[in-house]
Amino acid sequence: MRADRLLGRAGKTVALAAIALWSLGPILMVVSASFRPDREIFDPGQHSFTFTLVNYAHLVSEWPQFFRGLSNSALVTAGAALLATFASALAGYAYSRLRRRWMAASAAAMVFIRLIPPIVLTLPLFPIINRLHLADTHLVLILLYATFFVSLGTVVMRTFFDQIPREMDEAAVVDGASAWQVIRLIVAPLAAQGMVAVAIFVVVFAWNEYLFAFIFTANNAKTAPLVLAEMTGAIDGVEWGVLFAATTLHLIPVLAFVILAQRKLVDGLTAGATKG
Amino acid sequence: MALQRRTMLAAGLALAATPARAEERLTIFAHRVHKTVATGAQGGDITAAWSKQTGLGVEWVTFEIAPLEERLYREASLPETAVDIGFVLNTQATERMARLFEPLDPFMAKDPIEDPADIFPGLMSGMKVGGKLYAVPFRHASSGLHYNEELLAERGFTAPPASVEEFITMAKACTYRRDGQPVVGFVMGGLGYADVIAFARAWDADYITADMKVVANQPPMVAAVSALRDMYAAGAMPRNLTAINGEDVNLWMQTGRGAMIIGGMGRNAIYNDPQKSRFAGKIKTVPFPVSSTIAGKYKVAPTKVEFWGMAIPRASRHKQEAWSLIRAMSSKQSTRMAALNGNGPVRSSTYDDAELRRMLPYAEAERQVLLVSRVAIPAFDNAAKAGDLLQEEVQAAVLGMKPVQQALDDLTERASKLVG
Repeated sequence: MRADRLLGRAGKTVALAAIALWSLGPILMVVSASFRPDREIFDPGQHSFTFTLVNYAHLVSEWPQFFRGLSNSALVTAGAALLATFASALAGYAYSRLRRRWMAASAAAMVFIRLIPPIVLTLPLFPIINRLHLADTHLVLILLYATFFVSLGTVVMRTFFDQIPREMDEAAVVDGASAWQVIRLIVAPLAAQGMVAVAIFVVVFAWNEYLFAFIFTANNAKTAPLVLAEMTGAIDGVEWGVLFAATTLHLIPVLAFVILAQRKLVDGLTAGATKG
Repeated sequence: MALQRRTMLAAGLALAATPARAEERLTIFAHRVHKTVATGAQGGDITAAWSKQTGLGVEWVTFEIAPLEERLYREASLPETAVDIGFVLNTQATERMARLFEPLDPFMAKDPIEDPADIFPGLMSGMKVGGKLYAVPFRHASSGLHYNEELLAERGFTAPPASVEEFITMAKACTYRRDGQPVVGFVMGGLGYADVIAFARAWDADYITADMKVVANQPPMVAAVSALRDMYAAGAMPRNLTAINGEDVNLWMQTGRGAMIIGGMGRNAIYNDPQKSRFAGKIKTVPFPVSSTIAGKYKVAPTKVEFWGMAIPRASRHKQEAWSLIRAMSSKQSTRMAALNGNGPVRSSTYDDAELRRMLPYAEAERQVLLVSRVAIPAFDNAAKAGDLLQEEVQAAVLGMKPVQQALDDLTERASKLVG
């Protein structure tokens, strides 16, 4: 019995280690390659590791547009996350609390629209966006990303709001709270983990998104994924070390956000689990 | 508190909705390499003098090759576009380009570029559709032979091959193990149509002629593909040939896994860059040799040339200014400056420049190639499909899945349907 348990535990550890290696291995290779000179990165005869920061120096001197891209990505991601989370929370609350037949049809339509491939909607939008003078602005990407994720976010938020008893809303109303006060002061804090979950989805998507950014931006609102793609298409030879340095820097913010947000998510889920 | 929040929100929205455009400027859609060679430190910024004279700025918007074409043509299809100049490849000189871009002959008649005859004639004619000029050539890449002289010397060769037959012999001899690593004599990326045709030009072979005849199954192309088949069977080309792309070819040369390649002569710089290559200073670039069967006709193989030109979208709002900038960027002085920045110059006179010849050891070789080389296939709407068909059939032949003649007969039949 004990041997079976030990074997089971060992098996799980090996499996988890294999999955971690499979997932983390390429990332570790990219990060380590960013600190090696170009001529060593893909040289099969090269077994030593020469640490250098020259790739990061070249990134700063030769690709200033990458850092502009990073700040554009940050602005667009933050805006889209805030807007999507806010809209999803309100919509999720409405779907949770207002039980009408047409609401069910509306929810189904929202999910159906989400199933349409983005490219089908994106290209017809191009002339419209140009006519509205929104091309190459941060706003157009914020609106597109938020719109794209509101349907999924609404479903997530509705699930969280469903778990909050209606009696709490009713009690607050009896105490004189307005509808907005009920949402802001009573239910939203209780559904905070749901909002964190939606924010994580939107941040990871928006930070790495390429298609919308490619079609609707040129210079002013160009995001980091477009610059990274441009680095891989160099006619005069790809500078792999610089590309890996850029990829490493691009990875850090979203990784940090997901780790921090995940902690909040777990804290929220486990809060009140023990008697205090 | 509420007032501050609302104020900040409004300010943020206003900022997010406003593209930054402080001064009047022309917008150029290009690949990053065009911007680099136009504004580099060594030769200087070729748009600076024009900007000073006109008071107009220049905004470069750069993309990779395929996204550049997609985005440029999408912008050009709008009723009005912010793009004033777009860089186009010779392969795009089709009816579609003629519909979306300005014919430049009226501009040339009224205010011509400096000494048009100095631009290699093949490049100018390559940017014409229906006899009308739609783009002014700016940059070219002509294929030559790059070889690692250290690896060749180890195998007993002190000079590059004088004929393609000698090249094949050397490729086989330069396939060996070096310090435990395999070296192959000849590396080619995936048997893409452009490189296959460049190699086949050693026999003066063609796939589709300038007058749109498919001649892939003629003796010169059969000889070329048979040579590829022979080298592959002898192990002188990589086993995973079909999976190798252009960037892999660069890495193989830089790490010494390949002894010779056929490719753009401008790559000499990255193969000899000490930051990137284990063999910096040891990779030489010469014209690709011809077959002894056509030695009397050509001194060097008429390998393929690809080139970029500057075009003005019909929907541009600043056509006169755009033409003025094109004139400035295509002048002899600008062409020289861009060449010093690493550009493949489109003017013959640029190759006489002493500083350029000092900087580029292969300058004279490149001029010799430019004088005889031609495009891989003519530009037409199904050119990309035709290229894919060639790659498919040549891969089948080289890998031994089909006899060479049968593969090329099949290719001729299939491609004939595309050219109409």
